[in-house]
Amino acid sequence: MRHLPRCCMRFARLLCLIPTALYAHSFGTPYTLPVPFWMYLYGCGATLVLTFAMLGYFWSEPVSCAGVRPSEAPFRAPRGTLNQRALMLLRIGAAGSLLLTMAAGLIGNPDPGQNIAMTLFWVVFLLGFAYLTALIGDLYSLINPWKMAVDGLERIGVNLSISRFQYPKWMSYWPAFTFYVGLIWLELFGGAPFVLSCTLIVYSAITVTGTYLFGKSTWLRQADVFSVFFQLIGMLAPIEYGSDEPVEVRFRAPLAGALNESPPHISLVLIVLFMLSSTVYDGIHDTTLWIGLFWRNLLWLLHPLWGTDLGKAQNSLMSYYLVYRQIGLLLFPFLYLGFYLLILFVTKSLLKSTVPVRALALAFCYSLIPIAFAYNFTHYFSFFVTQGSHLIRLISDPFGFGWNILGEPQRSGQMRLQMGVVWHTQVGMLLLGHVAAVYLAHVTALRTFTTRRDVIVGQIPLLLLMVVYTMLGLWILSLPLGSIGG
Amino acid sequence: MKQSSRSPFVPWIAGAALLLCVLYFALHGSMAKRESGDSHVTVYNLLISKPRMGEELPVYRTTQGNTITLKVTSDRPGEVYVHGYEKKVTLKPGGETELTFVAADAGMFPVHLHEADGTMVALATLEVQPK
Repeated sequence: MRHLPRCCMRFARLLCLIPTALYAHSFGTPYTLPVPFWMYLYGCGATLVLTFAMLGYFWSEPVSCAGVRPSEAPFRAPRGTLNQRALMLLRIGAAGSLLLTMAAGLIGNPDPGQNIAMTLFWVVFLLGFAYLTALIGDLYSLINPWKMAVDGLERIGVNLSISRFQYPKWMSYWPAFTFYVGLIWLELFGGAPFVLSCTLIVYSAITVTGTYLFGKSTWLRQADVFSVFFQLIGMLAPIEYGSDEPVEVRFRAPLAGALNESPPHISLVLIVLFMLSSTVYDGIHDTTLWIGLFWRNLLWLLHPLWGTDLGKAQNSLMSYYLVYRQIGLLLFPFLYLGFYLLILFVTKSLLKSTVPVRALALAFCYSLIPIAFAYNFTHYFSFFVTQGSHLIRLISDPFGFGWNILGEPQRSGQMRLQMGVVWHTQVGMLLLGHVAAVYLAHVTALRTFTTRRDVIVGQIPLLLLMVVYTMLGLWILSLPLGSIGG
Repeated sequence: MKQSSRSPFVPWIAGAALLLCVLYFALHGSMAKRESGDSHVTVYNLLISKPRMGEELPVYRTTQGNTITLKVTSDRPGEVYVHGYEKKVTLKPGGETELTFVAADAGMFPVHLHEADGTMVALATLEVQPK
């Protein structure tokens, strides 16, 4: 910000004053410092070391290529069934949490830090439950509260199992993608608990309408953003669940879920890339780099739009700035998609392969989930710990009315992780995600390409893409945040 | 990677792990910042007056364990609030108010002015580097 012209500086300052009034009070304020430079360098170096080590190992690995399916190796996995009563309790808990979130947002304290709605939805559900899903699998498909509401409606006589209209093929996962963009928009630019509640109520109405029109199984599988999100993350887990009751629980090799399936449609590829890019965008949009890009560079390009007098143009410039912030969110997944397709096009050209780029894009898509998950975890886990530590207080006073249901002694302050712990976990997790992604890409290459040379050469461009994504993740962690104090 | 028994899995793992360790300690040893163990008291002066536009938001950099004193001169009533530390002081309009605390936790903490009508204005950022 030091190099900004004086007049721009003034706008940058104005900018600092505006969001503060809108922003949440002690909710969502990042406290972590950027990763120190030496750790950033280490992360980049380690990414290269790990990538080359894995590539070298794959090269020396004495396996035949075509049709190898490691996940189908004779592995007698233990299995069991989920306790009916436990499942019932989980379902009641999920539905109760959703109802509590809606109610608290509607009638509770508008301060996001005092109202349980925000912590329950953004922290416990979208962060905590996502991390749990990566460990214990897609439990959400069994306890989805909207599915319970739909089942409840069926019990009172509304048939939601049949499709009254044929679900259009072109729609595929686009509704889920649209809801996902909306969800992240709400996370970054929304705010108040009341808005969250209203959104959830509208979303519930859309879900019921959707299931009424197209049947519950189709709608919940392809259009419900939460089902799609947790299903993708659950692929990393070493546990899977059957769909019939009593629910069968099967253990499997970690990451096996991502190997056994590939997305049926390009819109699901875009959802995976949005998982990556939305976290990147959340990481980058409050940095001096991103704020400066507008006020330092873009401002002069937009010159014809606002004329010469900065003073007079300040209102319109502020609105351009808000558009700039929001458009980035929508632009990023398409940039990521473009880069991904370009890399696959290079792969195809290198191998002179007859497999279309679209088929390659679908086949390799799930190998990016570990990186997307690692991005999410590194970006949010310290916030998850900090804000999660308020949960007991919030349960004691869910609406922010000053209750003390649990009779807890009033505690001030919050749990914070040591900065060294945060940095090491961030770098370590990104590296772990990278290794998992490279492994998945390798196994997919084994299945997709026929000769040994093609398998190795074919995965090099993709490895490069993963190195870039991982290093980009590290770089964003090391960027200084802008002067917008939350 | 189930075929590990027949392939040179261990040497690759060991080689990579060794390289990672060497890289870590080399970079840490040569580049990580060393702070002296002494703790200091740092005083920051903060002036709150009407036209705040055009001022750059100050960043107060300090090291964990140091004592910080904010000397606030304000032309208006309200509270200065250090988020994260949850430290606050009620301002005396026209006079000087002091807020002293130990920067026990590392991190970035916004310093806000909370006015009586509920407006929050960012005043500064406190950046506490770990020891």
